[in-house]
Amino acid sequence: MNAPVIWIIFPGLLAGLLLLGRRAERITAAAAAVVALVLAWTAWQVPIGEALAVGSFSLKIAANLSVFGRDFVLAESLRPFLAMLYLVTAFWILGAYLAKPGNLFIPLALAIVSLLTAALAVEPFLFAALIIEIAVLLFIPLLAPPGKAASRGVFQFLSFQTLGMPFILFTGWMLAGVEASPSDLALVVRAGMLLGLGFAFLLAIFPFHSWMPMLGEDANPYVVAFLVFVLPGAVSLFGLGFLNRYTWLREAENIFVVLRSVGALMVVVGGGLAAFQTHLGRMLGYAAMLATGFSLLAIGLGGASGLELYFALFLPRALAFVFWGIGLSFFLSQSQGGLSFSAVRGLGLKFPFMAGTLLVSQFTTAGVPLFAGFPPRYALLNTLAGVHPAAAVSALIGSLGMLVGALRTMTALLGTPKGDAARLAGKPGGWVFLSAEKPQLLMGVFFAIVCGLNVMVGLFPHRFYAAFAHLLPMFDKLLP
Amino acid sequence: MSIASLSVPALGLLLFASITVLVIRDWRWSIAALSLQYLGGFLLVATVWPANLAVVKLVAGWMSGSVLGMTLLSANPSEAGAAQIWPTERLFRVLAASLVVLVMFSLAPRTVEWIPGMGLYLASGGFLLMGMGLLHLGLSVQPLRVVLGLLTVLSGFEILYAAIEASALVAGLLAIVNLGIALVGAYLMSRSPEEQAG
Repeated sequence: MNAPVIWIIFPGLLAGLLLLGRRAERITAAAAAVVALVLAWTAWQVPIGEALAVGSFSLKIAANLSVFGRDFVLAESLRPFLAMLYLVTAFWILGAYLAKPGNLFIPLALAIVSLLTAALAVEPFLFAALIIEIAVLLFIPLLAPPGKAASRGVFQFLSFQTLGMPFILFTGWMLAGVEASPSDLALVVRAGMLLGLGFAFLLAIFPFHSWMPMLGEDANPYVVAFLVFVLPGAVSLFGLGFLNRYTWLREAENIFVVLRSVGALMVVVGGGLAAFQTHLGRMLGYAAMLATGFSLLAIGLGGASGLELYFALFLPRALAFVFWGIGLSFFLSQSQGGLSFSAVRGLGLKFPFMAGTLLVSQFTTAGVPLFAGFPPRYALLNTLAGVHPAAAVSALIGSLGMLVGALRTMTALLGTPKGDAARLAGKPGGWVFLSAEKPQLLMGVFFAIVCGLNVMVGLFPHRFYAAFAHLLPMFDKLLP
Repeated sequence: MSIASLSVPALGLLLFASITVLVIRDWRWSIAALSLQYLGGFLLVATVWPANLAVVKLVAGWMSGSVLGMTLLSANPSEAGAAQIWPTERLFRVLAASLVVLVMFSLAPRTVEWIPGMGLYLASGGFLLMGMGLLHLGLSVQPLRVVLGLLTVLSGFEILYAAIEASALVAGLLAIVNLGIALVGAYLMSRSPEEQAG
C-alpha cells in the first residue's frame, strides 16, 4: 500500500467509474462525498511511512510510487494538507448536490482534485505544470457543458493556462542552472522573468485576468466558483514549492517585495472592479482576483507568519466561494435573464434566505468583521502595515471595493423590479421570511448553517485557524 | 544518411507548414499542414532524442490532427470547407508571418549560446513554431483556429524542451496534453458548427 495509490490513483479511478454512472445523481454525489470524507479521515489519522498495528496485522503506507522512472511522493508533511483538501472536496461535492451544476461536475471535480494532488506529489516537482494543464483541460466540459455554446472566456482560459505551462517547465530547467552558478546575473534575471510570466498566466495575474469575469458571466457559477477556488490554490502551492526549493530565489533581494506589489495590484484591481459590476457572475470573477491578491500578499510577508496567513486564508475562501456558487446557481435558476442586476432585481424579497447566503459570502470575501474572512485579513493587514504600508492601504481599498460590490448586490436583490414597483408598493407581504412551504424552510436551515459557520469562524478564530499551523512543515525551508 | 542531415529540410518543412496553417482557411489544408508540422518537429527532435521516443510526438500530433479532422468532417462538411478569406487579409497574414520568422530566426542564435545541447536548427524550429502559434492565437477567435494556434505553440515548445529534457514521463505527459487539447477542441467545435470553418 502506498500513499499516491490511496490519494491519487484511487480517487482518479473512482472519478472514472462515477463518470460512467453519473446519471444516478444522488448515488454519485453520495459515493463521491463519502469517499472524499474517508480519504480526509485517513489522511488525518493514518501516518505515512510508519508501521501501524491493526490487530495482528502491521500496516505501513509507503510515501512514494515510481512511474516511468519518476516518483510521486506524498510525504508525511503533506498529510494535514491532504486531510484538508479532501474535506473541502467533500464540501464542494455536497454543495454540488444543491447547486446542480450538471452531472459531469462531481466525477470531474474528483478527477481534478486527484490530478492536483498528483501535481503536489510529482518529482521533479516542476512536472506539476503538465499535470495542472491536464486538470485545466478537464475543466473545459464543465465550463461549456453539452448543449451550451462555449464563450470566449473558455478559450481565453484554455489559451492562458496552456501558455503558462511552457514558461514554468523551461524555467525549471533554468533554475537548476542558476542554483549551480548564482552569480550569473543575466541567467538569474532571465529565469526570474520567465518564472514570473509563467505564474502570471497560471494565476490570472493582471493583465492576464480577463477570463475570470468572462467565465463568471457565461459559465455555470458553481463551476466557476470551484475553478477560482481550486486552481489558484494549487498554482500558488506550486509557486511556494519553487520558493521552498531554490535558496537563491527565496533569498533574492526583492522577491517578497515583488510578490507584495503584485498582490496589492491584484487586490486593488479585483476589489475596485468588483465595486462597479452590474453582473453577479462577473463580480465573482473579480472577487477571485481579490482572493488571489490576498494570498500573494500573505506569501509576500515571508517567514512562518506569512505562510500561516496564506493557509489561514483558505478557510474563508472555501466558505465564501462554495456558498457564493450555490447562491448564484439558485438565482440563475430563478431569474429570467441571467445574473445581471436587472435580472435578479427583487429576487431577494422572494427568497430572502438565499439572498442572505449570497450576501454573507460576499461579506466574507470583503473581510467584514464577525465573518470568517475577518480574522486572517485583520492579521494580514496588521503585519503588512509595518512592512509595506502602501500594500496595506491597497489591501484596504480592495476590501472596501468588494464591500461596495456586496452592498450594491444587496440593493439589487432587495430592490423592486421595473414594472412591479406599483404592484408591490404598500405590500410588505412581498417579504417571505418563513412560510409553510418546505423549500423555503430548507433555505432557512441552509442559511442558518452558512451564517452559523461563518460567524463561528469569525468569532472564535483560534479554534479553527490553529489547525493551519500543521500545514507549515510542507514548506520547511521557508520557516525560520 | 544520418537523421541530423535532415535538419535543414525539417526546418523548411516547418516554415512552409506553419505559414500554411496561418494563411489557408480551408480546414482540410490546415490539418494537413499541421500534420506536416508534426513531421518536421519529429525530425528535429530525433536529432537529440532516440527515434523511438521522438516518434511519440509524431504519433500524438497526428492523432490530434485526426481527432480535429474527424470532428469537422462529421459535423458539417459542406459549410466547414467554405470559409472565405480576402486577398488583403491573406497578404497581411503573410507579412505578419514574415516578421515573426525574422524575429524568431534572430532570437535562435542567442538562445543556442546559453542552452548547452541546443542546436541552431532545433532552436530556430522551436521558436518559429512558438512565434507562429502566438500570432495565430492573436489573430483568431474561432475554436479551430485557437486549437491550431495552441497546438503549434506547444509543438514549438516541445522541440525546444527536447534539447534539455529527455524523460519518458515528460514525453508521455506532453502527448496527453496535446491529445487533450485536440479532444477539448473537438468537443468545443462540436457545439458551435457555425464557427468551425474559421
